[in-house]
Amino acid sequence: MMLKKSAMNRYLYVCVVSALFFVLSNALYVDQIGKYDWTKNLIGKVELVAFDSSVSISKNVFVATDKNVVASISAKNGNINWRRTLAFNDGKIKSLNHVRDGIVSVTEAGVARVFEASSGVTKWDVNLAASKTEEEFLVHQVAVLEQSYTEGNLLVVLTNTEIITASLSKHHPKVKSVAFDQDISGAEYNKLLIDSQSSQILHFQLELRRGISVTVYDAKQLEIISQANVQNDWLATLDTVAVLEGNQLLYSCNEPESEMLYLVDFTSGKVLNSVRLELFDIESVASIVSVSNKDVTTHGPNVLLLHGQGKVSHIKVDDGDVKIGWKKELKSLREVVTKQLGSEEYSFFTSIDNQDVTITAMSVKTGLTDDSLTIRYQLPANTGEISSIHINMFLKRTTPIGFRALLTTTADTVLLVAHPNRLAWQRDESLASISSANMLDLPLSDGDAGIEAEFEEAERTSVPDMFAKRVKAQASQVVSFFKQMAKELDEGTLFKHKTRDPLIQVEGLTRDPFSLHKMIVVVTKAGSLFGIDSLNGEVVWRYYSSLLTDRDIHLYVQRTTAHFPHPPQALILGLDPQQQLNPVLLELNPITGEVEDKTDVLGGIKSAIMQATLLPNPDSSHLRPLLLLDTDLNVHLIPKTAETESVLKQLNLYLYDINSLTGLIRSFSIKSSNVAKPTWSVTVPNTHRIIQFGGKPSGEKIDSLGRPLADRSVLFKYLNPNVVAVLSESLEQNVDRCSLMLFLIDAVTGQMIHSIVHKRSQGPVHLVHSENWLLYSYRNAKLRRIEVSALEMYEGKTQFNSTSFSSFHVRPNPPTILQQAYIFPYGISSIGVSKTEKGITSRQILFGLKKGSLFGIPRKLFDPRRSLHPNEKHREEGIMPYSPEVPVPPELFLSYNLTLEQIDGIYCAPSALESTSLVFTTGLDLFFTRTQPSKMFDVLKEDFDHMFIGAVLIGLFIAALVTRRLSQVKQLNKSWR
Amino acid sequence: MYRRIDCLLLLLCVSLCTAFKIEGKVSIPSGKALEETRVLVDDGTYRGFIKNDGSFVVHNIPSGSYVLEVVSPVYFFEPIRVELSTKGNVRARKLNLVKPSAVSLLKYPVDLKPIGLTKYFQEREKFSIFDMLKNPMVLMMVLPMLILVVLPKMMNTSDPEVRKEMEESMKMFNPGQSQMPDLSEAVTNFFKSGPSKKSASSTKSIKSKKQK
Repeated sequence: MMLKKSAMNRYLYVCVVSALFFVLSNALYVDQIGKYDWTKNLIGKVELVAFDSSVSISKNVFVATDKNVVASISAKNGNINWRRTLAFNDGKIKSLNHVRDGIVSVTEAGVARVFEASSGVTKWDVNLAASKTEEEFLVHQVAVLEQSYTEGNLLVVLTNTEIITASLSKHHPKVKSVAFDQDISGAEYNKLLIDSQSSQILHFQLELRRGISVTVYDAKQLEIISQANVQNDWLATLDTVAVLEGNQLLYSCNEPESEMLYLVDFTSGKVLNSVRLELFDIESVASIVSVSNKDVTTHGPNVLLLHGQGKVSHIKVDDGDVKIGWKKELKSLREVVTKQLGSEEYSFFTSIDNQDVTITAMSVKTGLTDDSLTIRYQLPANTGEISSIHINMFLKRTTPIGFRALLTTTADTVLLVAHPNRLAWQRDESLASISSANMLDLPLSDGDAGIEAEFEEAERTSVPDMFAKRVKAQASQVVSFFKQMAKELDEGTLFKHKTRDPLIQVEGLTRDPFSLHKMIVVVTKAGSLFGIDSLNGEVVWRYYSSLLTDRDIHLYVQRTTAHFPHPPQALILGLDPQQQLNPVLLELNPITGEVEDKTDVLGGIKSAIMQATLLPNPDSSHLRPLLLLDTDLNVHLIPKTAETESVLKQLNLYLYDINSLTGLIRSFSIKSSNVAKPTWSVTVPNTHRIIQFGGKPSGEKIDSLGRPLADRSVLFKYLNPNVVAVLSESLEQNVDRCSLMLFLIDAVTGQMIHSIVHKRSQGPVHLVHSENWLLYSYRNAKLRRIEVSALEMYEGKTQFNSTSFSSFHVRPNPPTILQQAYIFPYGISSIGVSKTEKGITSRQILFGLKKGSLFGIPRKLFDPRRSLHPNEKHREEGIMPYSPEVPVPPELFLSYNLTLEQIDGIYCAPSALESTSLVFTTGLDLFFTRTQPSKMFDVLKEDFDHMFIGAVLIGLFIAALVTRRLSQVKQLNKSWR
Repeated sequence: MYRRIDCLLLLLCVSLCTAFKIEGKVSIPSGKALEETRVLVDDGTYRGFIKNDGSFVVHNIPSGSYVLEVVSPVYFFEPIRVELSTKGNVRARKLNLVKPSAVSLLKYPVDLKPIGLTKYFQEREKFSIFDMLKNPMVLMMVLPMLILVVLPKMMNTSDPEVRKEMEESMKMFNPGQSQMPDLSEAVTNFFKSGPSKKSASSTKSIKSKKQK
């Protein structure tokens, strides 16, 4: 027996050593790109849009988003042509323009860049705030003054203190500025316009109770040409002010009894004309719409007055005369924009009635429109409400103009709609900010479910009955096979494959034999939910509810698909972060995306919800009840039935609550179903604040209870499921005085298992906690590098109680803690760990690197028993010698040469193959792949040569026959001798 | 005294508020690879964009010590450390994470050259006769063939001296043969406890054959 064990150990040793050597050979082959992985590149919520400024229809749309991304999107199919992520340090992108030179972006902090429109390569960049020492530097408005080719275009920026110009054409931009006498107030009281014909910059400033001051600068020298004040003490907004051709300013007075329109020459401040609005039969004016272009040379003599509910009047200024033109009234009018191109000047009226969007273009001069100038589009369900409309007008040969509209919605969806109601493309940009994801098994196919049902009551049925059932089940399998075929024929997808993965044979939304095909349910910060097909990243279903916007959304899977015929079920809990609004509860079928509002179930809860958790035990319908704990320590169960209450009573449940604001860690014991009883509490020192914590995943599969050592003894793991790791950071940020603290607390008893202080270290901290180990990364402030610390807990060489575990057992000695730290060469944005079916396969630690890669490395490298001076025993156990730096070979990048920006979540799920774990990462790019930490030991490699082994076998067989014959002949000859 | 404090405060304010820039050049051929190459300072807290001639500027950086890295999907670059003094003086040096005190200065403005192509992928084995021969299957087929066919031809087995020598060398290879029970024999004995005589006789017959 002893002998066998040593042989076993040696075998393990050989395995370990070979695994070590083959660590690097875990890399992909070039032909495996995209075979079982996919990426979805996103840009974020679209905030600024720039269309091609040329007169013809543009091929690309340029956008800037809340993720500080500047991107070019194909107008044809919505694909990203190029994407550039700017640093958040440069501030939000304030303006985006398309000019002859390229795409001009200016950020709030004053960094201006020009990107080539076709490739996205930077042509030119400058920090406009470079020489400034002021703390406040804010960009208000930006315009581009088009000049002749030799002079080059001029970027004009209005900030809170000055006007800055920079010449775009030169390699080294010439930056000039002219400061104001005093800081100007907010952007809404200022207007920057340019006059490209006479090369002038116009600055309009509304000073409350004094009037508008108009300053005209010479664009080249930045000298003031004229300055005038238009006196009035009642104007409160620039909305009712419009600039017309010939240096004229038109504004309206809405004071009761003196509703007037004034026409002023803004270079001198002289009033040219004033008209009583009564004459035009107009009450008070809400706003005056003129051409949206910043360049006044495109401004003509026409404006539109908006007054009352959807009433529009056309006003024409002719030689100082103010005349009224046409009048219209539009239902549920939302927005009016006037655009000018060549000699065509059109106004676009957007009306939104529920989900129906109507955009009508009208010639400003005549007020005429027709069907070819109207887009009527019904927003698809679950895309939210329209939040902004961007219109692209272009010239056409037959009709004078054509136009398209880019719509953005509250669900962060972007749609490009063309005439008459055609959706060119749609992008779900809320996927760029995912708050949580969940990978779920797909349901069994009808045939498999029939077989499953066959065994459900196997004990009670007789043999002939079983036989009949089997025949029935297999017949139904045949039927469903043909049905599926017919369906695929119908859809024309019979020979189309979603994936090139050879291991996946079933591509419908049913479970495949290896369970590699999952449904990814995703919750986004915008409040939308998505079901994503894991084979190719296609959105299967989407759901959006305005109830969920600006909420902390939590997804709880109460019942998985494993319990046929019960449908899978999940609950979505939307909590208000400020705890002002009532919580929202939705019931979701995660496979089909059917949602039912269950908020009325929460009616009995009077105070804010503090904690929510699924009970570990299901009820008789395999549903795990959701437990809610409110701030008054009342316990609520969903669903609340006699059965779920009895499930709770059987449990001896403890809950912990960590408040990172107050630094308080509390625990509660729940014995009855009504009230929770506080058991213990700990507060971190008031010089610290909690930045990260992590318990162990519930229901984790652990394969071995200990580690065999070189001397044939076993080092038992400390497998307390109640350990919670809490990390706090000092409020002091000074390099020499800052510190990080780690506590390991037993959440049931409150016992402090271990604590450690990292001096001169700071966050951000990323953490994984599993089995008996903990891995976390932090920044060593003193030595200015990222470090990863690995911690393992062991009981020792004997097990205290091998059959059961309780936190209340009094142990003779505390667990042994082993810890080691390593230098990690790159910034870390997220850490995850691979997860397999039975937990036999060794674990792989997955690092989301800030530079845009997903890096997977065996956990073995973070073994705290790695020794600086390895001896024979370490070699026999296969422990590598300690080296301070973690190697980051590019072969181990799961994302190979892709760039995954801002990875903020790594989610792993097991497949039915023990060797394989599925990985999904979120961030600005979604990435899905699978990983085999110990190589693929349970499936033949795809390059396995079936032909060759067949040939060898046949060869051997023939050789055996031949040699048999030969030996017989030889034997015979021998006997004759 | 007060004035001095004021001066100090002013200096502090200037040092806190002023933003500097890091300039440099990346030497890679223009094209798709250049378009997708990014310059990250402190892992993207500050970013620079490469122009067509390879030059870049990272704007808006306060004084301090930073790690500058060029990230490209094709080429591999070594990260460097860049230090900005409160007056805006810049010095660049090699990044040494293990021993941060070691200083080896680099030229500023930095000129970054790729070390080589980044190897993300494993190469598929190409067909070659040598690899084919190393394959265990082939070895399994070819080696016994060689032993069976070539070896007897090489040695003249009819010569009794050579034969004797060979037998001795065979004994050398497995010295414990006489003590070690034959595995197959042990197994058959174990399973056939009854008709053990028969098996014994059969082994005998084998032995006798061998002796012949």
